[in-house]
Amino acid sequence: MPRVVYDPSASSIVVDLLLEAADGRSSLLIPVVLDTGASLTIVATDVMARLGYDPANPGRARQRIVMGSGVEYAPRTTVRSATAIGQKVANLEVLCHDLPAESGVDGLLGLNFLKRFKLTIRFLKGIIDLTKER
Amino acid sequence: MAQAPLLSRQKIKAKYPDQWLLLKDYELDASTSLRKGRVLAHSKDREEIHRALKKHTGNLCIHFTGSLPPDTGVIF
Repeated sequence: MPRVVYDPSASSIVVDLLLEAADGRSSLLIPVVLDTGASLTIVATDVMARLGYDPANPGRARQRIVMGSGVEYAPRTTVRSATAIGQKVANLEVLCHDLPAESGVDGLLGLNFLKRFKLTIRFLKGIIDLTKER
Repeated sequence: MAQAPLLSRQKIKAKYPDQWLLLKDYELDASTSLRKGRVLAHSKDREEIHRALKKHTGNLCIHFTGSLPPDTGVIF
């Protein structure tokens, strides 16, 4: 069973997210916050550019996002695949948006990834299980 | 130039505390968590690591070994 063990005293839950490049020939692993309060997955602009998704393309669709700091608009794209906590999702929609460096992450793992699985978080022990729902 | 050694996640954290890193040749466990990697670049500044991303090809990994100060909350 895919399981991540994290420090239960940490301010947020950070996991690794593996993103496949647009051409399918490489991938990039980044740290992201597991965020059940985020409807969509967010990835830093530089990371998406490196993967060949061209977030600066003015023709790319932009998504209205309501964040703690207010309302913003961010480019939206679809990554070939995203893998976290041992589970892979093909063709995942991602918003290109930069979070503060102080957060220690390059994105958020949101509900559009998590809701495809059964997610169990044992907060007192710092254990996350992500399994396919039967 | 000699290739950087393959280091475990624990050794990377001990050698480069509170830093952003760019790694190659990384190995993952069954939960997609970083196990090992070779350090290509390291910095206290995330922007330096993002700039280093543009200089390297292939499968790469960004990793942060720090943590938030205990008196700091996070709301996105």
